[in-house]
Amino acid sequence: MKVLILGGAGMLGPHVVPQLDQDFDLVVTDIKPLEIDFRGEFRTVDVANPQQVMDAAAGVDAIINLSVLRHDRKLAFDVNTLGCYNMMQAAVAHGIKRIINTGPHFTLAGPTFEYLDYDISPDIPPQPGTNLYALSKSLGYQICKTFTEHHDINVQTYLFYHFRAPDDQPGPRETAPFSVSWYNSAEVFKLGLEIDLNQLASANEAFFVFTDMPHGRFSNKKAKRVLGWQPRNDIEHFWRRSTSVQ
Amino acid sequence: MRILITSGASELAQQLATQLAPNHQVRLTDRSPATTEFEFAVAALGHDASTRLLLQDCDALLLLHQQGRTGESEYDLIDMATRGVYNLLHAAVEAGVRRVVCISTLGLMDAYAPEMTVSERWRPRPTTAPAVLAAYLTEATCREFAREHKLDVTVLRIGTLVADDAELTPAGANLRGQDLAHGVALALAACTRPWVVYHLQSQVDGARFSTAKAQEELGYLHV
Repeated sequence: MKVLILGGAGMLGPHVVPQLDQDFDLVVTDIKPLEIDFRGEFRTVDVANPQQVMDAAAGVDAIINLSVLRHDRKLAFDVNTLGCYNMMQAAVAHGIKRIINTGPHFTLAGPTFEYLDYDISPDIPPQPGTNLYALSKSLGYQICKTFTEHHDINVQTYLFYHFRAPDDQPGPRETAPFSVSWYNSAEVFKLGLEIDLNQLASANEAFFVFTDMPHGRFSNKKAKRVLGWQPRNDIEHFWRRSTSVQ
Repeated sequence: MRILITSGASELAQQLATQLAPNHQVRLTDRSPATTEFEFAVAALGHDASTRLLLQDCDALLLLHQQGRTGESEYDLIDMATRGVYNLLHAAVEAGVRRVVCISTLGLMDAYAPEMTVSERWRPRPTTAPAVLAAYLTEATCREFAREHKLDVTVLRIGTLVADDAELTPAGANLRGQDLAHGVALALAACTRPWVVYHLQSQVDGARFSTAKAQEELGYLHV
């Protein structure tokens, strides 16, 4: 299977590419080079450029969209919102049926969920709020969803919050009750590329990807149940304290 | 009331300005200049002072859908419906302008079978046609400002605009210009709830969409 990765040289790409490199023919794209070795092809592509995305998607079987921009209003909408439109147009034009989109948790579960509720699952209507990153990503999500309702395309959206490394130490700020190690998060993409699309409940399915945590604020059950994703116990020290007395 | 009207170079904006002018002060804005008798400001709706200046001394924002602009690409359309609207709404918050009337389209409800009695309680079902998708994304952007109680947003989903003397057909979901102006004036006056949606079309036997909610809550009467 030939897989196009958009935004592959960002924060998540260097963790995802090594896990897919042996089993898939990768076309990794970004506006900056990917500084790890892999056997696939790298192309310079700006996800905000419709023609570049269209050209890069020719002949691929699936697209993974890791592109993200958070702060500048022009660039955030270009990448997070129009980038999804460009990706979906390319998917229609080239008959690509499998898309994996990504974003932050507040693509769906903004402050009106996060600060008030518990057991929050990804099967909720989007309430991103007015935060630039959240809203621009959420509008991209809505574009993807609309395309799945009118074309034979399946979009899985994987949502993340805090990424941690197992050897990092807790700082003064509490880790979000929606955290995962970089390695563990990257494991979900292979599952998404291999799952029989008929097993998914609809053509547009969202998943919260974070490790098993005791907080109960969000739920990762769907990612485990549907995708078979397995959380690792590799960052527990972020919410466990020593109870031994010196 | 001083009202800022977007897509000011469009024929629709000019018509609405003319109809609102006897009772309000209107200011038009667009990304390209236009010849008009009304106050007009060219602005790109970026994240800068020019967008904030548009709303200075205004009491309300009338957000016109960009549909049908000559030379507009699908990317421009979606960009303005998302980023442009986001910048404008933030500017409205900063300027203390709470009233926003957003002109959307009944095209969001076209996917339902014609025999269904579709009301504002039904889920919008946008297509991927850029103009319809753009309207949907504009509504979604406005809704988040309403959800956070930063603005009071009234959405008017309107039918296909026709001339005031056009013959109306049940299948058409048509809206005469004078009926739209009437609905807009009522919505601007009543716009004090965080979020409310009304469907507007002109009255005809067997009308595709009901306007009962607009009639009951706004006093929308067909003229």
